[in-house]
Amino acid sequence: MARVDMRMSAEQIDSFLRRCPSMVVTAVDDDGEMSSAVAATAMNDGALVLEFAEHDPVIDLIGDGRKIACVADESPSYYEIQGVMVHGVAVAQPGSDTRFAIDIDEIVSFDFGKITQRMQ
Amino acid sequence: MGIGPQEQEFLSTHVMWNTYLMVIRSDGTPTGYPMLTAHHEGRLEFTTYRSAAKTRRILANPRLCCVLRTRADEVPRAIAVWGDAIEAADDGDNFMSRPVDEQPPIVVPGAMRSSVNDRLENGKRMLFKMPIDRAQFLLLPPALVAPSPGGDHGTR
Repeated sequence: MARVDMRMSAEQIDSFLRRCPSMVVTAVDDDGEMSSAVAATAMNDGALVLEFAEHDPVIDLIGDGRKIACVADESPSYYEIQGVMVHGVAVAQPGSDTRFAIDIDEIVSFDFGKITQRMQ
Repeated sequence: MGIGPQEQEFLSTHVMWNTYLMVIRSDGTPTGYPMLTAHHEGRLEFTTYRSAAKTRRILANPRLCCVLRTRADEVPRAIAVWGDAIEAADDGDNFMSRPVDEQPPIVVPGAMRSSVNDRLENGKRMLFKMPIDRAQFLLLPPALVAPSPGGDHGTR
């Protein structure tokens, strides 16, 4: 049996990111170790914006333009699990030490609902 | 580094955790996967499809950073734990065979659990164990700490 294509549509991803309250954000430091944070998220003029806690150590790490990964999911039930992984670069927002917009390279997604659609 | 007593206590509040499993890709950049993991005796356990991209990445670079978050009905907290994932033999000593005395954050349908067990037996799925060598609570931005009248949109 062919593998189910579980990717979300562009519209689904946009809707997901608009209602998503937070994402886990990870970067790799110069020693090759990952550092992670939890950021509040919002869509602002079509841009995905991350807001970190003040003094979050990840802020210093992502401020130099290195690649980051941002991950979020929703799971009202098993067959409604959706997840979005955003890869890109964080761009500091003027007037804030804690807010960054994401210059997105790639978005990966999955929707367990596609499994049940396949079974019907 | 190790795990401090507060981190240890927090980790022991659940067996099954909403987890964001972060890995390093072959080009050195990070990516991540939301999934369920089990915490048991200072390690995380999880299963993956042998053919999955995440499996290939873990086997190529087993160093993981996993972010564990509290459930929607709990005070929001998050902790990052680090360790090296090890492919474990299916010797019966894993979270799939141990009795778990709590409701998991997401109820996995019985048919799906059976399927996972079957695929562990026939080798389509793999069991990983990750001894935790470091743990650190994460700061949360004010928007995620303050009570939200609309809830948290159901996000784990």
